[in-house]
Amino acid sequence: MDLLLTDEQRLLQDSVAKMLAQAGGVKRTRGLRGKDGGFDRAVHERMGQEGWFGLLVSPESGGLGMGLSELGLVLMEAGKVLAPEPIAAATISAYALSHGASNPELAQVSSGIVEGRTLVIPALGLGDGSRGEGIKASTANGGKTRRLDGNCDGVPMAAYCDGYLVAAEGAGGAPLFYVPKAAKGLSIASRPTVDGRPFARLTFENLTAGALVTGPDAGIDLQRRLRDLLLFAQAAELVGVMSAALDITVEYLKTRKQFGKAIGSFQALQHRAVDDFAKIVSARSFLFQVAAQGIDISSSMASALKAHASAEALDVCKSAIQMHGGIGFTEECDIGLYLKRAMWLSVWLGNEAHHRARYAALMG
Amino acid sequence: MFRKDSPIDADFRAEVRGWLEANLPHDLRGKTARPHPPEIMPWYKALSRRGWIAPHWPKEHGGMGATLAQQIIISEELARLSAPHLPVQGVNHLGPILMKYGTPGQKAQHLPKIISGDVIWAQGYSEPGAGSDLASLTTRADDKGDHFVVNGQKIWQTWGHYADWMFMLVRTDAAATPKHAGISFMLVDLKTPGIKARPIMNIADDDEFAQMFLDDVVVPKENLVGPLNGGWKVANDLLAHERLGTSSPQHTMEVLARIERVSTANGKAADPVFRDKLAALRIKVTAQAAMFWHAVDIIATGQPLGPSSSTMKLVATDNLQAATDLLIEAAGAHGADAERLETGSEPTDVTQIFLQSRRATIYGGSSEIQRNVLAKRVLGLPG
Repeated sequence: MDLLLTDEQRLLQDSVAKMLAQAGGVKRTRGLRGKDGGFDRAVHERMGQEGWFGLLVSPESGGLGMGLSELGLVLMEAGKVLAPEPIAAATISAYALSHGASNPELAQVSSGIVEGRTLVIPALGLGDGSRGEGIKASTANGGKTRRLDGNCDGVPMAAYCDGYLVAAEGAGGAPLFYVPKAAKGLSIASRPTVDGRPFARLTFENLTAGALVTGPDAGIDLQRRLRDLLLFAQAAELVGVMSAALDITVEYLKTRKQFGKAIGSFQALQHRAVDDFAKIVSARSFLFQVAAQGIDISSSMASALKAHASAEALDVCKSAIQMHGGIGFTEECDIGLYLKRAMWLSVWLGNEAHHRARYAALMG
Repeated sequence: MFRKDSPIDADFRAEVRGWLEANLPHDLRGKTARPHPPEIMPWYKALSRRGWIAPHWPKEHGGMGATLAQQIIISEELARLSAPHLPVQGVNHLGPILMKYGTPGQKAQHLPKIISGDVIWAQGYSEPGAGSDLASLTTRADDKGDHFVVNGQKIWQTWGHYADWMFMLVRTDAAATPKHAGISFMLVDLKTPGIKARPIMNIADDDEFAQMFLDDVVVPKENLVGPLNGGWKVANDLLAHERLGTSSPQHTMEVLARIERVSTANGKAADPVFRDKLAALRIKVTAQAAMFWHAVDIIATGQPLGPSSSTMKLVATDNLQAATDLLIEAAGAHGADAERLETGSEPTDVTQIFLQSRRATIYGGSSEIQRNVLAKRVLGLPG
């Protein structure tokens, strides 16, 4: 049940794995935890130079013009070694901004993201109005300026980037704004996470909005597309996280000896490992069958995929700790980092229960 | 769920749908258990005359030579009308084996009658003492020059008491190590003297299985398929492709349709807790469908599915049983009724399908055996 990859895709996958290994793998991630956003801007820029952030951007706009299968492969590899850089955020922000590229300011931001110099994080919230969340767009000055008011929670690495793509609610639509971090009227309340990469709550008070990426009348609902692509991206990272967690565990089961033999010879552990393997095969098939549908991803499918990948990845990572025994419970054992990353990815933009409910609502 | 038909396939689907709607008898629709031969064989023969009984067989053997997409369309359209399960041991199991390993004489004698439905086949693999440990089977075939003499017992033959012929695994070398190196694959006419069939009633009160007793049964040498003592490979060679059938999400989707009918009729569908459980199940079935289409993609490129594909059976059977659990929950106080529930335009059985689904994790290699095999062959775990 291996993936069916073209030579080009295989080459891309290998080059991503190689670059991440050279950068320092999981050991590098461990060292960055809790410091300056938990990731490395220099490595992020190198990823841009490799072309990763332009994957979904058309060649005319300076990108590679690839699709979701390629994005899935890159993020799966990133998940395997817990790369902390916001690859999904960069790639998908660049895609969204390339739709507003007729605006010279946005075109500059977009090319900055693709090259890895500029870091833009989508600030979408949960989009379901929970905890009084939501950003209202209104017009002032006789319609000359737009103002943003409200708040948005769960924005990753918010204090360590250059700007945001903000999903607002406007008169009769769902506009998407670019807001630089330095904008007046913006406050950032960061909080640490178990993954070592902070989430923040952004508050907008009488903020003069920057460029409108897309208004309510745009051909596609870019807010929704942005959210659904990010859900796909998280699922891809989750698949990488859980497959590496199982690989590490299987290796441990082959080497750790008790009662005079490798613990991997015990049926209770074998069956647990196989059940985890089945979860990975199913989530990976799900990911790439969704990818094959093209970039015009349906919201119900995106939510189903995110819900499924979150549930399975958390299960596999918890099981991996159990199979490691006592050592799996220690801070120094890497397997715990996999569980923490799965927790972080599951939470961003809505956990399993949130997306199960969104899926159910969309399916009617 | 993940595929749109090409224009040619869409035409084909419309043709199949129209024909089935016009020709599938209403009293055969929506049955949980497989109807008995007098009820179902006329339908088998009607499908055969239409050319759709063996879509996956090549044309030279009387099949349709259908593309994978067309095969799936036929089975989807059959499931859409809740068509009954057919006796498929001949079409799905023996046919492909004979095409690969049979002599010209065996092919000429048996393949046309599988297609026409004139001969019903039973599969004789399991024995009372050889279930999960199939290679330890002890039914003996002694070489008597121009024929074998077979003695032993077989069990779990689907429709063994209605079948005309049986293909079976028998021991032809008692001393062989490993044990599966002494097993041969042969065909036996069930009218041969010395054969008795005893029907077995299953947990859902359906007499679908039989136990077969073979006493000094004479089997001509020309009924050996493949090499002497080479039967293990003959029987196992085509298993990977059969997994595609067992992993199809259709069985579970049929149960989901029943859940819809029952929960709409009794109002349970409006309960948010129930809706949440149903959404969780639907998501799992969507992931299963993705595995299925992934496997279809692999087969379409001509590559082997490989041993990891048996994860599909684990996932598919878990989902099927989770769905029948939810069906019983949806039925509430009627979750133990022996008779079908009144659910709008057509009645819905809930308990028979729940009981029938127990088998899914047992037959064709129990889930525990699948896990043993996957642990060693795919994960490379020791022991």
